[in-house]
Amino acid sequence: MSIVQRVGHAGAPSRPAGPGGRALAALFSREFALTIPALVLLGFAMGYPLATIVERSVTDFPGGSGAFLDNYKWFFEEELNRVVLLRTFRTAAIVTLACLLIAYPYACAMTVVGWRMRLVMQAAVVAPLLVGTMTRNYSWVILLQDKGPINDALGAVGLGPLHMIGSLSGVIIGLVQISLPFIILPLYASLREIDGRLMGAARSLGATPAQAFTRVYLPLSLPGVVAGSLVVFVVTLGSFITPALLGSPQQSLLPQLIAQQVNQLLAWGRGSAMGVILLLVTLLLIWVGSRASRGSAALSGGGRR
Amino acid sequence: MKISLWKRDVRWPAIAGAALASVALAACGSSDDAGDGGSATGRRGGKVTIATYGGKTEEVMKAVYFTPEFTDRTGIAVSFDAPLDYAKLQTQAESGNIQWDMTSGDPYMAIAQCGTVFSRIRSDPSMFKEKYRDIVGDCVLPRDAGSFIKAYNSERFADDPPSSWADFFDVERYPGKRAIPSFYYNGIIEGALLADGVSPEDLYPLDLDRAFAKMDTIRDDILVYNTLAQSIQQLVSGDVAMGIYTDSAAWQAADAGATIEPIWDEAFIYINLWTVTEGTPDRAAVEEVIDYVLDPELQTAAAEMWPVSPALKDARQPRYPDEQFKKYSLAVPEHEEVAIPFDQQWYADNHEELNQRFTAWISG
Repeated sequence: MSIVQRVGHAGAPSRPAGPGGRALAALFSREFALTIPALVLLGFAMGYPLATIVERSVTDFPGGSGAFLDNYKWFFEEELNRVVLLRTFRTAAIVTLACLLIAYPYACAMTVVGWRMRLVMQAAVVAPLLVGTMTRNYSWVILLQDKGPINDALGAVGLGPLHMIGSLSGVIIGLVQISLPFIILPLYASLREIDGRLMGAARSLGATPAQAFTRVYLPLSLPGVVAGSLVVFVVTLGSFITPALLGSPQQSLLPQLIAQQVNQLLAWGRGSAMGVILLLVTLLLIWVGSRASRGSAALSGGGRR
Repeated sequence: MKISLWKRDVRWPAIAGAALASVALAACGSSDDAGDGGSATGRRGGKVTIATYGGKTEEVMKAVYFTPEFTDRTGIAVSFDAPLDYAKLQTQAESGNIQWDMTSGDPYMAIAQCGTVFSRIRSDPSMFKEKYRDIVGDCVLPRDAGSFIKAYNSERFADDPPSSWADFFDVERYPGKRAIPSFYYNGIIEGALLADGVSPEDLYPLDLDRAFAKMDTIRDDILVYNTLAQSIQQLVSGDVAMGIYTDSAAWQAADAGATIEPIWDEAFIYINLWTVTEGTPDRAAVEEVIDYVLDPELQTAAAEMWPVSPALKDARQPRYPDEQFKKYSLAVPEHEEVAIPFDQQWYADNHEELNQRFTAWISG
């Protein structure tokens, strides 16, 4: 296993070290040619719609006419939009944190168990992805409802019925379950690469198990933590179906407000502006996150060496 | 070898099919020649797709209006799609690539987007009941009417049943959750003004500041529901004390065992429509469908399946299948008399502001 990994590492192309000349050379390399199908697809499937959205956000105004940035001005002037934007980020942060708390020990366990058990654990992570999104969401509707099995079980042990469906807690439970594979898999990939002997070395130098974990294992795992968390965070920010089915209009998230603008009011410009704002804030967070992850990798001495 | 066998197998049915088709064509031609009371164009056929919000609307349309007999007689194949989505509809109308020839949506949208998304239809307002005449417009053809009624938990308030909008807003005398739909178009804004002392004739234009101030007094007791199923479940489980429901949702909940009573006084009437999409390719087929659906008998038949009130003035009183159904049907004259139609023109002119304020009120 570790031999395979090392061979893999040695064979991987080294990262271009910055200067423009080498980046340009890489542009014409054969590796780049391999990415052309993906780039073309992205250009059509993402670039074009995105350009249309940006264009509409500055050209399409309710009532017909308006100044260049009117839709953006409207967004920040309406208190509702600001409240919902904050709620959306808060919800995404809670979901990410909850996912991390569940995923970390799970991914950790995956690195130490035998291969049979690992296969079972891996299958358990991936299996929900094979069930359609709607099926999973409706399953949660059934499980979480006031007279559903979860409340029945709580009632059996003497706990009062919890109102979960139609509340933010229901949305969070649903989103955590749906997002888990997106954090467990990158986290596992990252934890797998941590050399277990480092912990032994720390112990032999007098560290307690807790110290060995917090000073050696945890810093080495941070790149995986950041990568997985970012994916969950971004997926949650844009989720529409789960909040619509498990939540309540009283706890709307931004994607629901966007859908309302477009579907019920035909205000494409405003809906587009909201989408662009969500995208920009998300990109900003990814940028901050990736910098933080690079910083932590540097802190831990490169992470992989 | 295999291929030639396949060819031989397929040739005979093909010839038989062609022969049958020519016989059928000849038959049609001769029936036209005979001139058996058919229209000038005869059985010209066509394809019309109608988009609705789905569910019972589609079911009733299939059962009452667009039976196989309709297609046999007119040659027009009617298909359905759901759910209706205005963004999709607008995209279709703008691009000219129309999948939904007709829709059954909301009057305010048909008025607001008349001539852009929706196509003008010739109509004669005098065909319709006086109460629904105001709404008949260039693009708006009423089919039947439903209403938003108040319904309350009859077990909880057995001794002192609520009867008015003032009671709906009185959470001290009638404590408990008030369920309302997530969409602003449900009567709570009008109800707040009525509870605050505005008379029904002076409702429109709505004084939104006054209405929302009154609504704020019960904001903590509001429970918003998203779907019909959710609203029925809340009623059946007894989670809510009172709520605003479509008459049909309340009827379904009562049927499912909810102990509720309707309040008809000052219910709000909405109209179900036929609308035509601007630029629909087979206009003639659509016109034929419209001529056909404006039939008092068909409207009454629909009102016997589903608690709606026919829009045409010549429609007879429906025969109600049972007492429960009658209790929730707007078609009952005593119900229709005390119910108030929404001012759809006002909604068309103000729906953006209204949507923003209502959404802020429920989810801010």
